[in-house]
Amino acid sequence: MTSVEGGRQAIPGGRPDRGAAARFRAGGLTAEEAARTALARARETEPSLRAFLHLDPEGALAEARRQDSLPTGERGPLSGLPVAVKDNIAVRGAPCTSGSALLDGYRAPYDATVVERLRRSGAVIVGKTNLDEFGMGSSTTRSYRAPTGNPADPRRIPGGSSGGSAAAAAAGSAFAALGTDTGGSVRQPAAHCGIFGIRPTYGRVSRYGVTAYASSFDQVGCLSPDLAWVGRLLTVIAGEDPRDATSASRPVPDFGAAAEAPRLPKRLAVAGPEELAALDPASREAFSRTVRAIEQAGSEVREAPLPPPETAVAAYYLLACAEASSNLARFDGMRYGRRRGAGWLFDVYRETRSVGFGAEVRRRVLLGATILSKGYRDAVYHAAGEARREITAALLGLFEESEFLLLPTTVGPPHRIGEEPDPGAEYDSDRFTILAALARVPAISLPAGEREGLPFGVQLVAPPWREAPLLSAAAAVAEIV
Amino acid sequence: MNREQEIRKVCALSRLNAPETEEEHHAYSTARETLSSLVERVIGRAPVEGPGAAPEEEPRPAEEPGCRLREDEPPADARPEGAEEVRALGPERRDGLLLVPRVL
Repeated sequence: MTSVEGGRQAIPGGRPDRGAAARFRAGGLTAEEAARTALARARETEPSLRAFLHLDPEGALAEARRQDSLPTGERGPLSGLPVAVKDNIAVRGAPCTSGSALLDGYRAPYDATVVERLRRSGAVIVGKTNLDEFGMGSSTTRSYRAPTGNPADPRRIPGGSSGGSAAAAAAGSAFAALGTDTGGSVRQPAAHCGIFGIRPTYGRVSRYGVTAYASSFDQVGCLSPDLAWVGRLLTVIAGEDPRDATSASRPVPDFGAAAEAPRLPKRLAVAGPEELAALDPASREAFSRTVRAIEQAGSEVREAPLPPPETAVAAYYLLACAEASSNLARFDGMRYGRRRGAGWLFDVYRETRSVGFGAEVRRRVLLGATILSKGYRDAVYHAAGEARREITAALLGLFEESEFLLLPTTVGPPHRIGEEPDPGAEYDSDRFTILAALARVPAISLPAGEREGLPFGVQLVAPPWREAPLLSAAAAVAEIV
Repeated sequence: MNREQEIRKVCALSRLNAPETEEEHHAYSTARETLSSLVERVIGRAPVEGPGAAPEEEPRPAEEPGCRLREDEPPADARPEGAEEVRALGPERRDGLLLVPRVL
């Protein structure tokens, strides 16, 4: 049940208690108290938010009590932290539907590497969160279950596809969450829900146990209203994994320490007026306000020409759909998925997929199959790959003169549930998050106040493997905006 | 290939049922329009400019050298030793992952 406050709906219990994560970090709560706090928030808010597809209160409390019973010296870096996990990441024994009716009833028989590392560090997994089916969407309305609401106004979308993780972390039903970011799926919902969300460099975090959507883009990211937990969580899940050949064998810095050491960048590149024309007026004003605050604090800010967003959006969707059509071939009712139909094998495949996949997934699979078909492949797929290489080179060139790139995260406020834009407009709304995904570089969305009463986020983009300075810069910018 | 044949071909490639209802046909048409718009933006684009824009390169061959089989490699459709037994289980088995562990 929702209540109406100031002309718009708010979640029961009022605004989220974002201080709980910080209080826990300061040692003000035991693991059990932290779990009880998070679970109480979940009970209170779930009827209006629907952030979780699966909650595990008994498992979470048992693990929290176990963490409390450990001697201090034996506790891991995330001991007792209540964490929510996006439902396209495998947690042994728990449902793993990826938001798809086709996988309804499927339980993961093993832990994803990131989950294995969470458990080893003492984190308490409270549940699996809602998402757009297979991560394909920016609204979390395309789950086979109900759409997730935004804690700031449950009638609106939380963004997506990691909207369940963002809503849970923003509402306090978890103190931190894991999401996946293919073209912006961690950063965009973080912005809409008013919290931090980082996409690390491609290869920084293992994808083993993550349902593949577009493998050359997919990365696991971290969300929390508390930046220090974002850093600590990233430190735990990062690092080489022999089960994912794309994970990099690079040293993992202490990202938690970096997040707690604010450092304002000396030189920042920012999007110019041409790019900002895509924003609605209130968002444009909010972005300009952020830029002015950073300048006044002492950073040198210069406008930089960005790779054309129209090309970037097109290259991204052509490549992502092609990869999706290939990755989703396994969901045929034989290898994975609830089988439908009977008779000749290919009839079963077709019936299983036609009934099991939602409209947007069918659409992207069709687009991808076309792009990879004879005649299109050389002309279109390779051209999109070439555009990606050019965009990457142009973006990396910006970092020769500036430490980071500052962009808006979203083009406008979250829309109301049920007022979905047409797919073309939705794809174009990803224009500011897609650049980092194409170039495989790290980026973080941080809260920068409100516009029209709804959270507003800006995004810092960094060169590859510079997550530590990126977190320090985000901490400094968050202090002044 | 006419439009109906094209729809059926792409649906078969995607292992999805061909559209039957008006709504399904509409969804397919919208997808085609989106694809045309995306393709136009990539094919008809000007080179990306910027401080680090890639230098002009020699045109790439349609097939990347790394994707070609070496001369001493068997063709892609060569049947590995042991594959016969698996095929005997039914033609559909060639399509899935089941062939791989048996051969290994």
